[in-house]
Amino acid sequence: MHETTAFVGTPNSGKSTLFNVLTGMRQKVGNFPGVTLEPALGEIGKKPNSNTVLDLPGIYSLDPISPDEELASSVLYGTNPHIPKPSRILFIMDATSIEKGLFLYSQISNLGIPIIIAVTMVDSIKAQGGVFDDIALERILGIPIIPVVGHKGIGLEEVQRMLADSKYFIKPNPLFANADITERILWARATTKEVLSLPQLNTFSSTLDKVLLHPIGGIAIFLSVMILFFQSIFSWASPLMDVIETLFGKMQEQVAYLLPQGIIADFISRGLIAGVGSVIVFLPQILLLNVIIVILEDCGYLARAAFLVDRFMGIFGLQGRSFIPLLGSFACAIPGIMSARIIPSHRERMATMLIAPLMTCSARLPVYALLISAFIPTTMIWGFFSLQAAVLAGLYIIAALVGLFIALLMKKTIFKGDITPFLIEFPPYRMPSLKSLLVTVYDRSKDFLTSAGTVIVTLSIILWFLSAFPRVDFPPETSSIVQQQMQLEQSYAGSLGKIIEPIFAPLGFDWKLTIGIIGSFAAREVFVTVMGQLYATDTSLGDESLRQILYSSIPLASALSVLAFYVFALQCISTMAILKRETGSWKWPAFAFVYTFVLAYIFAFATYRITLALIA
Amino acid sequence: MIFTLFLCRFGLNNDSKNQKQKIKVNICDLAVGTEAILEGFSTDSPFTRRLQEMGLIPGTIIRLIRKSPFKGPIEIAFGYTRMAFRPYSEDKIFVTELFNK
Repeated sequence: MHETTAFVGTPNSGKSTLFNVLTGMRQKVGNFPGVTLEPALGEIGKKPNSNTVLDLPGIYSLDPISPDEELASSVLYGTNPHIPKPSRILFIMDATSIEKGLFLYSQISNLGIPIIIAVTMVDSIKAQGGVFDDIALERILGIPIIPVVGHKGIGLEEVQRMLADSKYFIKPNPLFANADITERILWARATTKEVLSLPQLNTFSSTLDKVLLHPIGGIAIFLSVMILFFQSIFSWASPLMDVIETLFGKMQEQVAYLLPQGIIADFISRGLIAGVGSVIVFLPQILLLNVIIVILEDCGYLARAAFLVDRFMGIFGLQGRSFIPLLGSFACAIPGIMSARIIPSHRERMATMLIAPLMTCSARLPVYALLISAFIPTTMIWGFFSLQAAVLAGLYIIAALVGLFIALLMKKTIFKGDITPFLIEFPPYRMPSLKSLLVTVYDRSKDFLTSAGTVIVTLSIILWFLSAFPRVDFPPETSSIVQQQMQLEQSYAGSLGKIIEPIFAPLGFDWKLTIGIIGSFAAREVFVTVMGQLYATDTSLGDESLRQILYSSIPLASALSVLAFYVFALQCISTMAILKRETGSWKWPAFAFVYTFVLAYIFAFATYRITLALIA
Repeated sequence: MIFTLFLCRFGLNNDSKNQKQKIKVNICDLAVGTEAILEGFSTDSPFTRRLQEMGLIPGTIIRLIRKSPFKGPIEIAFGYTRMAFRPYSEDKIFVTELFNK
C-alpha cells in the first residue's frame, strides 16, 4: 500500500539532511496547486512498493508562530486544505538537543499517527565523551529508535528498511493530552536524564563563537564572508559562463552553416538557441551561489549571521532573519522570496518579500557587465581598485540601501506595528553533508531552470517573432548586417519601440534602447540579446565587437541612464508570479512593480541629467 | 573564595543576603557571564510561550553569554541550548541572580 510518510522534527535536527540523503534526486516539485508554501516531496524505495515522503518544515511545537510552522502543524492535524494528513511519521530527534525533541514528541504522540524515530548527531555525542542510550529511549517511549549519522551513512539502511514496511511504525501512547507546557518540559527533562549523559556541551561551538560573534572581530569576519560571496558572483563563475556563451555561439554558427538561409534557420538560431542559451548561461552562477548559501546554512553560520545583523536590520524595521531571504535574492529573487516564510511576523515578512527584487540578482549581471565594460574606462583608482569594479559594487550597494529604506518606509506606513521579538537558536557547528548539499543545489537549480527558464525561453521566442515580422523586402545588394537592422526597425517590435519611445525619451532612451527595456520587463537577460540583434552583430564573436559598436552608437549619458534604470526596475515575470503565490494576491506584485518602476525612472532621469550636465 | 570566607566571619556572606531579598530583574539588566534562575514572565504572548516551549520554564538556570552593542540581541544558555533574542521588548523575563560559585 502506498503510504505518505511525513518527516517531522525540530529545526536544525538534521531532518532535511536525512531527507535529501534518502530521496536523492527523486524529489519532485510539490504539485499541490494553489499552495503558497510547499513542503519538499520525494519518493523512496523501489517501485512498485515506493512510498511518498514529505519533508515538513522544522517546528518547536504544534502551536505555530510563523507561516512555515503553520504549514507543518496544519498538515499534521489534517486541517490543511491542500495536503492530506500523513499516514505515518518519521520523527527525527537531535541527540544534542533531545529535550526539545521530546517536548515536540509529547505533542505529536496525541495525533494518533504511527511513528518511528531516527536520532541524529549520535556521533557528536560520542565525540564529546557522552553516552546516548537508544535502548532506554525505546523502552520509555515504546517506539523503534534508529541512531543515524546522516552524512556518514550510518543507520540509513535500517531507516530505509523500516520505511519500506508499515509494520515497524507504532502508534504511540498519547502523552499529556491536555497538559500545559511546564508539565511536558519537566517530563522531557526527566526523560533526557535517563537516556543522555553528556558532561559538557559543545565547547567547540562556544569557543568558536567567541571569535565569530565578537562585536568587532565577528563583524569583520562576517563582512569578509560577504565579500567572498559577492566575489564569487563576479569572478569565479565567469570562466564557465564564457564557455557556455561560446558553445551557444558555435551552435548558432552550425545552424547557419547547415540550414538554408531563411526564416526557419533564423528562428532556430536566434529564437530557440539564443533563448535557451540565455538561461543556461546563468547556471554556473546560480549553482555557485546556492552552494555557498547552503554551506553557510547547514554548518550553522547563518544563525550567527542573523544575530550579528539583527541590530542593523532593526534600523529598517526588519529583523535578523530577514537577512537570509535577502541574501538569497542576490542569487535569484525567486528562492529568496520563498525563504521569507521563516519570518514569523507577517508585516516583516511582507516588507522583506517586497524589497527582495531590489537585491541585485544575477540576471542583472549580464546587463551591468555589458554596459560597464562598454562605457566605463578601465582606469584604476589609487592603483588597485578598478573603476569598473567600483561602479559595479556601487550599483549593488545603492540598490541594497534603497531597498532597506523602502522597507523602513513600509514598516512605518502600510505595515505599521510593534517591534516583534526576534528569537533564534544557535545550533552546534556541524560539517555539512556533501550528498545533502549536492541534492539541495541540484533541486534549487532545477527549480530555477523550470520556472524562470520556461518564461525566458518563451519570451525570447515571442521577441524573435515580433522582431522578425513583418518581413521586409530588401533592395538588392544590401549587406546582411544592414538587412538585419532594416528588418528590426520595420518589425512589430521596432514599431512598438517607436510608439513607446516618448515615455522613455526624458531618460535619454532612443527607440532601440526602449525595445531593449521593454523586452527585459519579462526577463532582464533579454536586454543583451536584443542589443545584439538591434546593433546587428554576430553573438558568436563574443561581446567585444558588440561593446565597441554600442560605445560608438549610444551616448554616454544614455548608457549610464540605462544602467541606473536596471538597478531598480522589477523586470522579471517569474518574480511577480512568486510574489503572487507567496502573498495570495496580485495586489502585491502590482504594487512592487509600480514602486520599483517609479524608483527606476527617477534614478535614470537623475543620472541622465547629471551626466549631461557634467559632460557639458 | 577567600573574600567570601572573610565576609562569612562577619555574617555578611552572599547566601544570607540572598535569603533576605530576592531581587527580580529583567534578564537584559544582568551583566554578561552571570547565572540566574528564571522566575517568570511579565506577559503571556506567543513569544513567551515559545520561550517556555524551548525549555525556559520557571526554575531553569540561565547564563547570560553575550550582549550586542546598541541594545541588540542577547545570547543565553541553559541546559544544552544556546539561543539569542531581542530583550528590550514589552515581554519581560524576570530572573534572580545566582551568587553561588
